[in-house]
Amino acid sequence: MKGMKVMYDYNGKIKGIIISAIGLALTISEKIHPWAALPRFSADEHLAFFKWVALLGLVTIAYSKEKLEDDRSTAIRLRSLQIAYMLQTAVIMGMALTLSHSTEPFDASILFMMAAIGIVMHLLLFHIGLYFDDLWEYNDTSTLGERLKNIGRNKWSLLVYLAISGAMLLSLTIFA
Amino acid sequence: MKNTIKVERAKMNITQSDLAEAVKVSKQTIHSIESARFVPSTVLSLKIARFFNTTVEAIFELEETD
Repeated sequence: MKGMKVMYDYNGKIKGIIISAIGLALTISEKIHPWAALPRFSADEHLAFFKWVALLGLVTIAYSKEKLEDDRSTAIRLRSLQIAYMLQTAVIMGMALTLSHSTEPFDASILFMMAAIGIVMHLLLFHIGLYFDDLWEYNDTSTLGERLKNIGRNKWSLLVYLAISGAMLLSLTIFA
Repeated sequence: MKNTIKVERAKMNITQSDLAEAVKVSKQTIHSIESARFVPSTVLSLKIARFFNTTVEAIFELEETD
């Protein structure tokens, strides 16, 4: 999408490793001996937050460029994302169907929603890229100012962002 | 797509690392291109050709399967 930056620079990878390591260390410490720094929240809530921090670090690593980013690393990243996304969708859809028929009471609608968000977003973005070339940015724009300028230059981008948000809300409503 | 990067390197007596540094890619990328496992972009192909002071067509050649 025009005006959108997907990948952080290499620094993001280092930040991601640090965030992930902190999250992991806190998760382990919480598992070994449950503790609560904030009395308002339980140890379990602390544990959930620490896991979230560890995952945030991993996401940051995944969306950061290599020190020497070139054609090959970009191609490898695209391929690995395709495979990972395919496997993730397969697992979510499999679980949604299995748990819908489970004897245990389980609301599988969240799983359908998760699968739907990914697929709907992908199909929308892919077809925007295919049929509205003016709206598509083939490479990341570098600075925030440049990105904002790009959005300003192309009002259609804003409309498309709104359309995507609308479609997401619609899919949430349908599958919830 | 086959290429003559290895031959050109041998002529100039330079390593994969030297070429990688010159065209600002990783050594593994040069290795993958040389072994025809990875097809470089137009920009990278032009950079490689410029480094060897020749044309892209002199280095890269289409095969029957392309």
